[in-house]
Amino acid sequence: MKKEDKYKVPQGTIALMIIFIILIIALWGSAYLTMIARGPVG
Amino acid sequence: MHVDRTEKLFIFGSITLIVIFAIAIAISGIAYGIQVPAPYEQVNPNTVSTPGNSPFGAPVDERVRELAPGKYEAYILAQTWVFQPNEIRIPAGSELTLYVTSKDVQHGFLVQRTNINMMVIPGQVSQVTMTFDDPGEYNFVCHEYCGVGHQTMYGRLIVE
Repeated sequence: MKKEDKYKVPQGTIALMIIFIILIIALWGSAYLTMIARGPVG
Repeated sequence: MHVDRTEKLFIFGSITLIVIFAIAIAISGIAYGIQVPAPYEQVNPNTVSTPGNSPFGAPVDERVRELAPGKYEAYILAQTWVFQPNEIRIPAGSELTLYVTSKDVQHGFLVQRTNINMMVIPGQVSQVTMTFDDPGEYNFVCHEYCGVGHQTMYGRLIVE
């Protein structure tokens, strides 16, 4: 196995991680905006 | 130590995301006034509902009080499997302070479509204040499993 093959960019893993991050931001952001819209409590 | 470029990117992204989330939570607490309900006081669960002992011992229809125009307080006693009172009426635009405690087991208190969500623990009074601007019916439910009748434990907050 050549050295450059050993260190190939893991494109599949990066794609999955990007989907994961987008999902986390979307779900978290949606819950956060819902909380803000419901108004203050204390 | 060698860290691959892709790993560096992921580590940096993860930390950035956590920092952004933490800042957003701080903003919601400081700028928008969204606070976590705090314990208000300690009580004896065995005597808390004894008449004359505490506001939780008052007749059920006297546990919602108008303190001033547009300012109300309600003392809700949770027990298996009922909230007393289980119906609260306030005018729209009122500020309502809820005091909730349990005389038996651990319960939960969640007012649907609002940020009111707290634990109800025997021996502790949980307190939360919110202004209700929008008229309508807001159901409140026990969201901590408390026995076979748990699903029947709910009430209504009516904003008129």
